Amino acid sequence: MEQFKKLVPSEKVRQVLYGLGILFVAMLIFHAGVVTGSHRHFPGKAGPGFGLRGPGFNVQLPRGFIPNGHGSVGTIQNVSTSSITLQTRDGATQTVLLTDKTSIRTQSGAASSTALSVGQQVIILGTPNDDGTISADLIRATPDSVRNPIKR
Amino acid sequence: MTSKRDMAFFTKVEPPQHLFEAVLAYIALARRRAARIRLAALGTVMVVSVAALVPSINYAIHEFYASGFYDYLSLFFSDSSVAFGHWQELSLSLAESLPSLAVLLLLGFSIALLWSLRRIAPNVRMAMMPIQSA
Amino acid sequence: MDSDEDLIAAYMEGDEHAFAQLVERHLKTVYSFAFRFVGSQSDAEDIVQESFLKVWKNLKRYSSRSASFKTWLMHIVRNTAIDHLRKRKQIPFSAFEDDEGKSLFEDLSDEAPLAEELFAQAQDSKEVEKAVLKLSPAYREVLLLYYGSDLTFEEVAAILGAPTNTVKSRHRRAVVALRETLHRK
Repeated sequence: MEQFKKLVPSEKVRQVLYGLGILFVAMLIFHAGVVTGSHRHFPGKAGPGFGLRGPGFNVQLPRGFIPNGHGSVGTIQNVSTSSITLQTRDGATQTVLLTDKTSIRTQSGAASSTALSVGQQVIILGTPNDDGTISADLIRATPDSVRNPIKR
Repeated sequence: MTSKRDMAFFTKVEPPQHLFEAVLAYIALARRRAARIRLAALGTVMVVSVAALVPSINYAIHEFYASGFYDYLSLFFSDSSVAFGHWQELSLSLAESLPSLAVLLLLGFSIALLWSLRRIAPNVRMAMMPIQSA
Repeated sequence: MDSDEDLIAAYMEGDEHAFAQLVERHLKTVYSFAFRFVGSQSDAEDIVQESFLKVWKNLKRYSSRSASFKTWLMHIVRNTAIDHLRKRKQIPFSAFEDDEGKSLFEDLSDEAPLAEELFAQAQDSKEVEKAVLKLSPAYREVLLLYYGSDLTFEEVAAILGAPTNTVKSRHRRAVVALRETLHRK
């Protein structure tokens, strides 16, 4: 108890608090920026709202991430020579265009588009297009993606 | 002008013997009362922040998964050279997938808990102080 | 001996004993003023306790740049004493706002006889104490602060929040009023 009494009001804890406070303010500004910017640049793609419901109120708070901006994560639903279709984590459908610059990788290393198949988990990095598609620069097929540690 | 010497009847009056201790006890009592009120308020903040921290940690873990942040981050470990080769898209994807609301909630409740713990420690001692009556 | 400011600084650093030393140092002055102002020991004790509590609560806001600690302390004591009397309805709200003595006493020049008379009556200080209590609070406080608390006119002016010249003229009128009260006995 005595150690607790000495430790808690100490200067180090105060510095940690200041650091967290600065991080909080930075994150708040970042969140505001993402929420306002995503509506402009990724219309309809902004992360679904976090709902707070109760008797007489229903509040939607923006979650602050853009699921399919310069990248996407999901399960392949369809493969063609020029594109693949993904089902993303939030249930949306994302079309990913394959170009000459697209690099495809699996656990074994570099691969061609024939290595892609329906049901595969992939991570996409690329450039978003105005029509909502993503032109892929990198497609990384994973044997299984990171499992959701929290079942909902 | 009447000098102060002439007004010698305005000598100081000796206070009662118990008054000094009574003053200190009065202040100690007020101090203890204030500390107890602060303790109650800080205790409430602490309990609420602890209660909120557990679900906010769960929520943050889920959101980091749902946004794909973990997946983008894993590229640094699985294909580091390729990841650095596409550092611009990867950086943007990491930034876009950062679940800022979850992080804000986690930071907010952590700050509230740490702050209340820091303030509670000195108030516990003051709140439990015995008062010696004059 | 540490100055008041040194004791305050020590208390702020966590030295609990420093505040007790401050109380001990000024207790007699504070009690004397309170006792002579209200005329009752129990009321004076209440005023003293309340005043030092206010000092403790507001110590962080005290700055030696604006006033000496004694001046600041006596300002608090004076206000506490007035509030105490007002709560007991012993003085009207307007008691400090009128220069009520001004019209009654034209001749303010003959203070030498006053001093001799008062000195002669110093044998019977009870009579003088009663006479002081009969004065209006505005006159009473000037006399008590100036003579009883070892303060200068400038310091009394700072406590009362009035110009120094106003305090000086109020002091002259208070002495004359005290003489009149003693003569009426």
